[in-house]
Amino acid sequence: MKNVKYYFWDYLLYDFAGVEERLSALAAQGWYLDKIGAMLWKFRKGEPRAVTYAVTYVPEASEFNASPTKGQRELETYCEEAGWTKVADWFQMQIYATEQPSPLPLETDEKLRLITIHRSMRKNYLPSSILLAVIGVMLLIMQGSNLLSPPSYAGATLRSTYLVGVLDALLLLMMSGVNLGGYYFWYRKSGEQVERGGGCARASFYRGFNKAALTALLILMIYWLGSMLAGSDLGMAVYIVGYMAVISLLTFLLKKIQRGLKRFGLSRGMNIFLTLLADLVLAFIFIGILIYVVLKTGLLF
Amino acid sequence: MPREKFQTLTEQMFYILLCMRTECCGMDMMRRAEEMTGGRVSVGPGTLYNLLDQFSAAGMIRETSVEGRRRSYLLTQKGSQALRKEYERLCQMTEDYNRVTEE
Repeated sequence: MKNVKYYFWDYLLYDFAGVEERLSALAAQGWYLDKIGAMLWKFRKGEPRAVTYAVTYVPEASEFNASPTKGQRELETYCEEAGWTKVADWFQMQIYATEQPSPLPLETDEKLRLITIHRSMRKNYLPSSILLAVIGVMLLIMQGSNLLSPPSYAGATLRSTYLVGVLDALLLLMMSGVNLGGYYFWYRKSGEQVERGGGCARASFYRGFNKAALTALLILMIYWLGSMLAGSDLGMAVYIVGYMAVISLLTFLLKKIQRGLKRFGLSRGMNIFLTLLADLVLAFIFIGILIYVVLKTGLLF
Repeated sequence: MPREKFQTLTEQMFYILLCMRTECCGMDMMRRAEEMTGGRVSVGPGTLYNLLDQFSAAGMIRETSVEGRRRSYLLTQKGSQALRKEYERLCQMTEDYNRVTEE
């Protein structure tokens, strides 16, 4: 029987209730959070137990900090006092667990919880979602203008590439829009509920949409690759598959580099700079190798 | 949420500030808030940390000492004023209630 399992973690950073419930449900089946990756969370097999997971947020926490901040250490002290053990942190989200039957909740003030979540989301979730939306708009404009006025040398394959590019950009825009809009409506609804003495709203609406959008993206890519192969355009198909493999490898390596840099005890700013530099250099090298191989083998001609 | 921060205090905010009228360690505040209220008000560790962080940023408390993992805090003048203002607001509410129910 496998002792390790990886789950594609499609929960959003502010969906604390979703994360808590999912982790507790997995613990009841004997799966315990071991490591948090870029898209996959690693779980290790153990005995099924009734473990309560709870989440709180530290706005100044960052993946680029060499060590836990003073605030994270102080929080951990208070949580240990109340019988909670630190499991992991995911950007600003701090994940704790306890096996006490009626534990003192981590959060007992919903108004403050909402304020803290919003402060945390303003640090990276909202700026990165806005950036994705901007990239989506730029891609839409670029690919859209190519599609509407293709260059004279563009054959059927290249034109289909532009069409897929437009559809990808639209999907990216839709996902950014739903995630940003979803957060706005969640935040507003939570504010209203908290003012009336209730708790923050649940945020489970997005998962279904994101799953559908990612599935649509996958189907689109498979259809496009399939049509290129059916049209005997092996070269372009190989290039695209190679490109996607490069992006996946880059993501994996950058996560490793980011973790490795933490061991040197560098400042957050230096970690960010070096990670971005590594991103640039590796992307240049990998894409360069891909283009060299494709041109050398004449696959594109 | 249109209300200005700390214009009115939640119960957790009120009792945590009350703990810091004298120098108090963060780890003891959860217990003291429960004792003061006979178990009616509980302050979770996540809430406690964020309250101390917010109060500190607002200049309502200051850190007085650090001994290993124990950090102690004390109200500043601004914090004392906020606590007093909340107390007066609650007293006013009590007076309003007594007046209206006696009519």
